[in-house]
Amino acid sequence: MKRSLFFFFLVNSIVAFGQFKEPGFGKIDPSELKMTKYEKDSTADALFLFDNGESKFILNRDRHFQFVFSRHFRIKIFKKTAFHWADVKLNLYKSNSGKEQLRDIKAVTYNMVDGKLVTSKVERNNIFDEESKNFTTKKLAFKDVREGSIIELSYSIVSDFLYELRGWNFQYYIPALWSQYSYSIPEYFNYKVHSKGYLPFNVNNQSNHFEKFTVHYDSEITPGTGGGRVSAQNSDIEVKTLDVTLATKDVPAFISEPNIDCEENYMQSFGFELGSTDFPGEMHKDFSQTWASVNKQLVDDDEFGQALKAKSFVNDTVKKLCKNISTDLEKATTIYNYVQKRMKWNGVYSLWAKRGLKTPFTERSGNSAEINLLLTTMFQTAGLKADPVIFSTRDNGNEIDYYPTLTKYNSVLTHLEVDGKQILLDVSNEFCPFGTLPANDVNGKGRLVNNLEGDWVNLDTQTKYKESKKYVLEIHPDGKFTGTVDGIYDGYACINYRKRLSQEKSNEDFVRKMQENIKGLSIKSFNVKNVKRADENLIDSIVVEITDHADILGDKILFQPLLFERIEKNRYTLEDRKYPVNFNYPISETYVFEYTIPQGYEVETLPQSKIFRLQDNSISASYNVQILGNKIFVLFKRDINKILFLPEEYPNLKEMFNQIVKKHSEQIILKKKS
Amino acid sequence: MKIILSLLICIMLALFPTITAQNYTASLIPDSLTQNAHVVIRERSDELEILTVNTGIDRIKQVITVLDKNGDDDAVLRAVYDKDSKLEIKEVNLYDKTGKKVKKIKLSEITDIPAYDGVALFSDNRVKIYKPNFGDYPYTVEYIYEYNRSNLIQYKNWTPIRGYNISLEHSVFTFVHSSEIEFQKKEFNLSTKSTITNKGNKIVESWKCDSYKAIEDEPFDVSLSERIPKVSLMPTTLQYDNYKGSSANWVDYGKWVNSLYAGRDELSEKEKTKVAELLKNLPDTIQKIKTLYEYMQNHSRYVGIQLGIGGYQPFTAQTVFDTGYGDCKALSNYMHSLLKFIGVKSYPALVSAGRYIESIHADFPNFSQFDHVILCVPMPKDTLWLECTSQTMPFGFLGDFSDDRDVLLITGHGGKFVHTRKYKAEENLRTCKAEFVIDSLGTANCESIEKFQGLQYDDVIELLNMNSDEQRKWLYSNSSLPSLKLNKFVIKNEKNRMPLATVEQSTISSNYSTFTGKYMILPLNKINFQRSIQKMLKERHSEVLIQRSYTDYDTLIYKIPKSYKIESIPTGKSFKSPFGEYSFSINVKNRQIIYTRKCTINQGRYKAAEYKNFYDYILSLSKADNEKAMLVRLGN
Repeated sequence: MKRSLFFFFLVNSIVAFGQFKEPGFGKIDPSELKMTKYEKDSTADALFLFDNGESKFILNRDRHFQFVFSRHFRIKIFKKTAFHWADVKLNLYKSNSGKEQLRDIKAVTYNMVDGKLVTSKVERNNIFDEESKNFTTKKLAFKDVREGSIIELSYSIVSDFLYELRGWNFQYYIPALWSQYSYSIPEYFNYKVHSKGYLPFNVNNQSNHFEKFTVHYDSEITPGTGGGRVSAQNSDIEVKTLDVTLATKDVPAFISEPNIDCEENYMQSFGFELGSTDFPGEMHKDFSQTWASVNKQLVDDDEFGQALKAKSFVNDTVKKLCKNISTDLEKATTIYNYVQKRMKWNGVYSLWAKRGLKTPFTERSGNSAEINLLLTTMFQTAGLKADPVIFSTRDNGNEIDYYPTLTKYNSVLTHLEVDGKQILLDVSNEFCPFGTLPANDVNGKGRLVNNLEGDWVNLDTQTKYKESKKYVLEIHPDGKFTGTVDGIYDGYACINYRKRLSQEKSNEDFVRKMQENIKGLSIKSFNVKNVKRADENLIDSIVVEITDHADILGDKILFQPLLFERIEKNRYTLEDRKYPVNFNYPISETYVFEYTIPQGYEVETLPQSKIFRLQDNSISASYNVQILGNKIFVLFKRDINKILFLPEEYPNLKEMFNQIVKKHSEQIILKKKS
Repeated sequence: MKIILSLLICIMLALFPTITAQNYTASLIPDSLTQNAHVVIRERSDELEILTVNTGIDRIKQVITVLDKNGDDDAVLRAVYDKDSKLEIKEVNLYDKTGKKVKKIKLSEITDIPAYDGVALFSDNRVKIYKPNFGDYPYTVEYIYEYNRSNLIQYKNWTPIRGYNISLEHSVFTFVHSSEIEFQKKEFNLSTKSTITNKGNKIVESWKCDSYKAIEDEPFDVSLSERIPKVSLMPTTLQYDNYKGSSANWVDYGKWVNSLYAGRDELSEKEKTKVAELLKNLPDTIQKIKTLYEYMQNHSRYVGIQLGIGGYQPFTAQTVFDTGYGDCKALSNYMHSLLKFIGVKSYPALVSAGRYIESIHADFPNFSQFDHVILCVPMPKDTLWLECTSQTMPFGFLGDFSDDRDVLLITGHGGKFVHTRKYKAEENLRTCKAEFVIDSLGTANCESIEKFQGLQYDDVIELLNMNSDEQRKWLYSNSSLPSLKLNKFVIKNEKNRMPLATVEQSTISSNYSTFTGKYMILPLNKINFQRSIQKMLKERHSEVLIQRSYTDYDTLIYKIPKSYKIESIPTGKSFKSPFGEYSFSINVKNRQIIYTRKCTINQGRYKAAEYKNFYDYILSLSKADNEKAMLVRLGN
C-alpha cells in the first residue's frame, strides 16, 4: 500500500511540483470550465480545483487576540450527483465567552454559455441564518449550478475561541488538485498539532517572521491636579511568529471500504489544540500540555472528578448491597450487576457527567460518563480501588498519537483493581457480563484518571465471539429435514444474542420473526436458558422442520449440508485493499451436523474434507465429512485468532474466504437404492 | 372578605388534586392495549379554540406510557413551531410505573433547534424536543403545551395515533368556535359521533376515541393513514396574510392557490431571447416542449424551500432563472412560464407523491392531502405530465413517484381533479436474453441483454445516471452470479415517454455450477428469480395490497460441456392465480438447454386472509425459479 502511494506521487511529480499560487477570486481559467472529467479519476462527480485555507492572529481593539480563518476554494462540478456541494452550511460557534463572526463571504458560480463565461453571484439577502444554542448556521445555495459549472467560495471567520484553532482536511470524498493550509502563530501561543492519514505532504514549509500587531489605547482622562487627558494612541509590538504551510497535491478521493473500524482515522486531516501561552510579563499558562495536567484538569472538573466526590446519596444503597458480603470481588460483581440493572444508557457517549451523578441515579438513565462514574463512585464507597478511564470508542476513531488532549476522547469506563487484578468495566452496556468490555470499547489505549498522574490502560479484550451448534436431523425422501438444533453462545456471541432477544417483546415474537424471515424454517419448540443471568452462557435448544433446502432431481436428493450456517458470499470483493481489516474480537465457531439417511436411500456422493489455514495460523478452518452407518456427520469449525490484518495480508485472507465459500457450496447427494 | 378568600383557596387546594390528579399506574392498562404495543397513549386531549377566522389557540395534553425500550422514540416530544404557530410548553412530568411523579422537567431541559428535515435547505420552522429516558419500564411521561396559531388555513387534522405498535386508552378532541365561524369537517375511522354543546356564546363540538388497539406493520399492507382515526377541520374562508379565498370546495380552493401563483410566470427579456433562439428551427410543438423541458432540467436544480406563504407560494420564474434553483412549486411554475411564453397552456397539479399511492378524499377539500407539485400539459390527444424537480427524468415520464393517482389541477377556473397515467403490466416490462457457455470446471461465459421499460425502467434509473466506473460497481453488486467478472458492458438509455433502458453484459462467472463427485449441478435461473416474501404466522389484519403490475420475460440458453451429459432436468411448471401468471419451460437441443420463463404480477387489493395464498403463490414461484439441472461426467 505504501509502495503504491509512493508510485502515485512519483508519477505526478513529473507534471509539476511547484508552489501553489492562489488565483484571485473570479480569475477563472476557461480551460477548466471546458473540462468534462478528471483524467486521473473518471468516477469523480466533482473536483476541488483548489482549496486554500489560512489562519492568522489579529489583536482587536480591546487588546484581545483573535484568529482569522480564511478559506477560498473552487469546485468543478462534473455530474448532477455532485450538486450537493453547492449547498453550503457554515457553523459559527458562540458561547458566553465569545463568538465567531463571518466576514467577506463571496459565492459565485461560473458557466460557459455559448462560449462565453457567465457568472452568477449569491446575493447577501440569499444567505440565511439559523440559530441554535451553540452556533449560528449560515446557509446558502450556489446559483445556476449545472454539470460543468465551477463554484467558487471565499470567506473569513473571526474567532474568539483560541483554544482550538480551525484545523484542515486535506482529503475529501471527491479528489482535489490542490489542498493547502497555512497558519501563522505568534510565539505567545503553543499549539499541539494532530495529524491523521496516509498521504505525504507535497509542501511542508516552516519559517519565522516578525509580525507587527497594533495595540490601541483609548483616550483617557485622569481627574485631579496631576491628571489630564491622554489622547488615544496606537503603538506597535513585534512578535516572532511561526509560519507553516502544508499542502497536498492531486489528492485522491477518499473511498470507503468495508470493515474499516473508523473511516475518519484514514482521511488526511490536521487539527490544533492550545497547549500553553507565554505572554510577556505573564506567567507561563499551561492548558493541556502533559498527561499529568490533563489528569489534574479532569480530577478538578465538576463534571468529572468532583462529581465522584458527591457520593453521599449512594451510601445507603452500597451499604445494603454489600451487607453480608466478605470478598471484594463479590462486592464488585454485586454493585456492577445492580448498576447494570438500574441504569439505562441513553445512547450518548460522553466524557462528562453533565447532570452530576445524583440526577441520573434518580432518573435511572444517563450518558456513558454518568453511568460509569456512578459505578466508580459506588465501588469507592464500598472501599474498592476504582478509577475512571477516558477513551475513544471504535466508531469515534483511534487516538493514534495519544497526545495529551481531551478532544479526541468521547467516553468513560471504570478501572477496578481487585486482589491485584485489573478489571475494565463499562456498565453502560446492558448485556456485558462483569469483566467483558463492550465490543465498541475495544480500541487501543485509554487513559486512567487518578489522584496521581494517571496512566495508560490497554483496552484489549480476552473475550471471544464463540458459538457452537449441533444439528441432529433426519432427512425425509421429500427433501424435508426434521430434528433439533442445540447451541451454546459465549462471549460476544452471547452478548449479541441477548441483544437480539431483548429487541422483541417476548420469546414468542422472537421465534415468530425468525420463522417469518428465514426461508424454509419452521420452529416446533424453542427454549433458551440463562437469559436473565448475564454471567452465564446462553444455551438454546430448538425443534425444527426445514424445507426448501434440498433439491429432488429424479431419484436423488441434493443438499448443501451447512444449511443456514453456509457462507454464501465472500464479503471481501475488492481487488486490493488500502486499509486494514479489523475483526474487533477473536472468533470461534463450531457447527456439527448429524444427518440420518432415509430408509431406502444411500449416499451417492459426499464433499471431501478440507482444512484451511493462513500461514501464521491466525485463521484456521476445517470442513469434515464422515459417514457412519446410516448417518452422515459434517463438521465446520472456524477460528479467527488475530484481530488486525494488514493490507499486505489481504490477498491471502480473501483467497481463503473464496475457498471456504466454494467448499460450502458443495452438495451431498443421496440416491434411492436400486 | 379576606377570610372568605383564603377559605376559598383552601377549598380549591383541597379539591384540586381530586379533580386533576390522574392515576398513571402502568398496571392499570388493560391487557388488550398492551398487546403488540410498545407505547400506550393513556390520554390525549386536544382543544382548539378559534378566536378569529384564522387565529386560534390549540391546547394539547398527552400522557404516554412506554412499555419497553422499543417505545422510547414514540414518547419523544417533537413540537414544531414557526412564526405562525407560537409554542408554549406548560409542563412536562415524568412518572414511574407505580404512577409516582419522579420529576418535573425544567424548560431548560428541552432542546430547541431548527426543524431541518434533511430535504429543505431553507426553512423557518423550529422544533422543541424532549427525550424522556427513564431506566425502568414501564414509565409515563406527561406533556402539556399550547400553540397560539395565526394564518390558519386549515384548522386541524386530529390523529391521536400516528404509528405502529401504539395503542390508545382515552382521547378527546374539542373544537370551540363561535357560530359565525364557517368550517367543514370530515371524520375517518371513528366509531362514535361527535357531541355538540354550547358554552356561553360558543359552540363546543367534541370527538372521542377510546380503547384503540395497536396496529402492527405487516408486509404488503395498506398505509396506516387509511386505517387510523382522524378528524379533519377546514375553515371555509382562507386568509393568509393578505391572500384571501375560500375552501368551500375544490374549485374555490384552486382559485385561491391560483391567486398565489398569479403574476409569477413572467420571463425576463433576457431569457425570452434565449428561449426564442433555442426553439428557432423547431416547427413541432411537442419538440419545442421537450426542448424546453430539457432546458429547464439543465438550468435548474431542486432545493427544498419552506419559506413564505405557508410554503404555498412559488418563487417567481425570474427568480428561478436567476438562481438556478427552486422547490417543486417554483420549478413547476418556471416550466409553466416557459410554456406560456410559447403559447402552450399548462397547469400546476397538486399531488400526494411517493411510491405508495395514498387515496385522495375528493369529497373533502383539505389540501394537506397533497405534498408535491407536478406540471400538467393538456395535448390534443392525451395529457403530458412533467416532473420538474428531477434533472434526469425522461420527458413526459412520471415514474412511480406520481403515477396512477388523483391530482388537483390549479386553473384560472379553480381546482379540478384529473388522474395521472397508469402504467400497465405489459408496459412495465423486463426482458432478458442470455447465453451461458459452461465449461467442464463449472465456469460460465455469459452474454446477456436485459431491457427495462416503464416502471421497471424507474427501478434502474439510478444506474443510468452514473458514470461508467460507478455503473461497473453497481452491476457487480446487483448481480447474483457467483464469483463474477464483468468483461464488457453497454448501457443504453432511451428517454421516451415510455422509457427503455438496455443493459448488455459480457461476464464470466466461475463456480457458476457446483460439483459433487461426478455430478455437475447447473442452476437454471440465476439472473432474474423470485425471492420469497415474509411469512406471516400471526393473524393478518391489513388488506393485501400489490401496488403495481409488471411482466418479466426471460430466455436463457445454456451450452453444456462436451464431457458431460444431462442426468436429470426439470420439465417446466406453470401457475395461475389472481396474483399473476407464471410459467417456465425447458427445451433441450443437442448440447443446449433453452429455458424460457414468463412471470406477470397483477396489481390488486385483497382481503387480509388472502395473504397466505399470496405467500404460497410467491413461494411456489421462488421454488420453481430455483430448479436445477443435474449433469453427469462421461466416462471416468
